Order: sequence, then structure tokens, then C-alpha cells
Amino acid sequence: MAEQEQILLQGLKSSDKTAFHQLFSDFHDTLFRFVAYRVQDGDLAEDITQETFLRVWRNRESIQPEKSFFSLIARISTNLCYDHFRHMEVRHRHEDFLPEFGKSHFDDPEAVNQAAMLQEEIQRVVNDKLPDKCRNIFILSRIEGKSNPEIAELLDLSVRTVENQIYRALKVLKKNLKNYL
Amino acid sequence: MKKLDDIQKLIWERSAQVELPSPPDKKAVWMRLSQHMDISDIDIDMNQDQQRIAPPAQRFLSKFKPRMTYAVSLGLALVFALPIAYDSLTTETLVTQTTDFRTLQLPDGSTITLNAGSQIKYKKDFNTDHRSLTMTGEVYFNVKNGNTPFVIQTNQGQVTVLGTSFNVRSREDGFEVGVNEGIVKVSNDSKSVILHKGQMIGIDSNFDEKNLQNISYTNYPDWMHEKLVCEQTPLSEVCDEIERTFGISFKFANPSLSDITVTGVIDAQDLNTVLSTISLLTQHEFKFDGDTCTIF
Repeated sequence: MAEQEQILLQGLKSSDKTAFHQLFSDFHDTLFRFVAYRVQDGDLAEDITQETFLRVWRNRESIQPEKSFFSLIARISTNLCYDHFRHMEVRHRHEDFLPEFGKSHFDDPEAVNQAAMLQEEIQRVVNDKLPDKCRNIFILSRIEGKSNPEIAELLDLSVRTVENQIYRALKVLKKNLKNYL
Repeated sequence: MKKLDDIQKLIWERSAQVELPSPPDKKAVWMRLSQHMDISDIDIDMNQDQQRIAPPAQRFLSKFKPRMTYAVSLGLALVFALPIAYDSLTTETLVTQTTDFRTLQLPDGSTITLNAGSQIKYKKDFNTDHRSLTMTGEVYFNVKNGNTPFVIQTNQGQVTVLGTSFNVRSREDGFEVGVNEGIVKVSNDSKSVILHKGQMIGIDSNFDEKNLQNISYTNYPDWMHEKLVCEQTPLSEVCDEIERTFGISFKFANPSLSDITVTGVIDAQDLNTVLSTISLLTQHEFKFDGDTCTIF
């Protein structure tokens, strides 16, 4: 893991607001897109991103500086996303109405664009079917356009693991997208 | 990388073509975040205060393996004793430097906004049997209704309230209290006066009812709305305020300039607007160089 990041995390742990600001600046946009990919709503993604950083600050004393910061914020934000989805589900249940995700485009078959539909389905499978670690890696690679060694450094994994996880993601995607290809 | 078949290649390509909303302005997000951080820090302090009697035991134990509980319980006696000894002696201090501007929540739920160059201090047992604090500078209070009176000590006088919104200014150049909501009592050693909604007691006046004025403009106090309201205000005083807000310093090319009075509402969102408005109001030129502004 980058040495710089470890120093900043050490600073954060001892309540250094400047170090935290630096980490915030470095990771804010990536985390925002990461969350936006999952919740597909800019305002909500903004709230979840901010709440994630706030939780990091609140629990700064228990931070382990030798561990990847992105893994930490990805985990916190993922939990917040789950909370949100759970909340939505409960609300829908009360309304006695459960919309089928990703089906809205069937309303207007003429406007259906095969490519757009495929992308939507990819997004759904990534969000619903991939395990957390695999999903984090896949999003960093495809959305953030990061190289495998960059992802390996960011998440403190071996390049080999990153490659395997991406391959695994593609296998799961292929299996789940049979009807669309 | 392992070999991909055509379908996987297609998925690989397509998966990158997603349109996402663009991230919000990082600076604005940080400003909001850092306010929440301050509030949460105060909450944490407050909780630690309230929890020092019983709950910490649970929090402590859950962090340790069972076999360590013996060692921990031994240590607990110390853990309990020390914070009580320390906390009773310590005081919370909140300070804003030049150009700083902060909104915070007090343990009783009241919110306060500190203008630049201000300070408040309160005992850690605030909101147990008292709500008193000391302050210097300028602070806007939005006091939650409570059982105990909210008391503000300044060098120039004491302000007592139950629940209301008001501004207190206690700087070298004078003292001022203005009330937006509710009733406030202002007193010093010898005298006291009651202020109602929409009233203020001005700089350098005795605490006497005949010195009460009506707040003559909406959006009081000006600094909470990023404005600078001047009514026959000496230029030197206006410049002091700008120095605190923007972290610059003023020089007068001619000493008599400091006595000119200024009247008008200045938009204080950015320094350039402020300086050109002042130049217009006083009909004097200024030169801005780095962080010093010279008025000719």
C-alpha cells in the first residue's frame, strides 16, 4: 500500500483534520461514483458518500493505518447502501407494491435500445450477484478505469488476486446475461 | 490475464460505458462534512461525560477477548476514577480564528454560531444543573428551552435567557446584544435591563431602558447573513470587522481617514465586493496588495 496513504491514516487516527481533508480530497470522487453506480441516484449517492466520511471521522480512533482506506470506505458505503435498499423494500412492502427493477423499459418496446439494456443488466448483475470484494474490484476497473496493479495497490491485494476476481466477475456476468446476448 | 471469449469481451467493453452523475463540488461537501464532524465531536464529548457512570463497562468489555476480562476489570477501577477527577476540572473551549466561522451544538441542544475571532468556554458539566458559559468576540445564540437559565458571561455584562435567538457582541470596541426571538435579560454588577424581540442595546450605552433601540434592519445580525450593516459606523471599526472576516489588514494613508463614518449595507460574501463598496461609500480609493489594503 502507498506509504503516503499510511501516513495520512496515522494522522487521521490521531484526529488530524488536515490529514483527513487530504484523504477526503483523494477519495471523494471515486467513492461518489462507486456509490452512484450502486444506487443510481446522484442525490442519494452524495448523502451516502458524506455519511461514509462522517462515520470514518467518528470512528477514527479504531482505524488501522496499515489497511487499505478504500476497502474501508467501500465497506462502510456498501453497508449504507444495503440499509437504504432494505428501507426501500420495507416501504414498498407497505405500499403493497414491488416494482421489478430494470423492467421499466419494457413499457416502450420501440425505444428499447439493445445496448442500453445490456448495460443496465450488467449493472444489475454487478450490484446484485457479485460478492463485495469482486464487485469493488470490477467497478474500480470498469468505471474508474484503473489498471490491475493500481487496484492491487489501492486495495492492498496482489495483482494476481485482482486478475482472478475480474475473471470471476466476467464469468458470473456471462452466466447471468445469457438471455441478453 | 486469462483468455476471454467473445461474449466476455463484449461484457468487458460494455460494462465501462455507464453514465454516472458527476460528483458534487468537493469544497462544498467538505464544508458541510466538517460542520457535522464538529457537531459529532461535541456529541462524543458529551456522551463520554454522561456515560462515565455506568455504560463504559459494556463498551470496554466487548472490545476484549473473554480471557482478558480479569485484567480489564482490574483496570476499570482506574478508568472510572480518572475521568471523573479530570473532567470535573476541565473546561470546553471553542475558538474561531480570523476568517473562521463555525456553527456548533451545545450539550443542551442549543446551537451557537461563532463569528471570526471569537471564543466560548463552558464547564464540562454544562446542562446538568447550570447552563452558563463565558464568551468574547461575537456569537449568535439559538437557545433551546430548558429548565435552567442560559447565562452568558462577558467582560462587559451578563446575559440571561430561557430559550430564544439573539446575538451578543463583546469586543474591545464595545458591547451589543440584539434579540430576534424571545426575551433576554442583560445585566452588569449594578444594573439590568430586559430586551424583547426586535430590540437591541447598543454599544457603549448604560444598561438602561432609555438606551434600548429597535433593530432597524431585517437579517439581524448582519454577519450571520454575510452582510455588513453600517449606520454612521467609524471606518476604523468597519475595517476591523473586515480584517477579522477575511484575514487581511488595513492601512490608512492619512490617520484622519479612520474617523470617516460609513452608512450602508455591504455585501460581505467576497472581499472584492466589500472593498469596492467601501470605496464607493467613502469616496476614497484603495490599493490592495497581497494581504494589506491601503486606503488613500
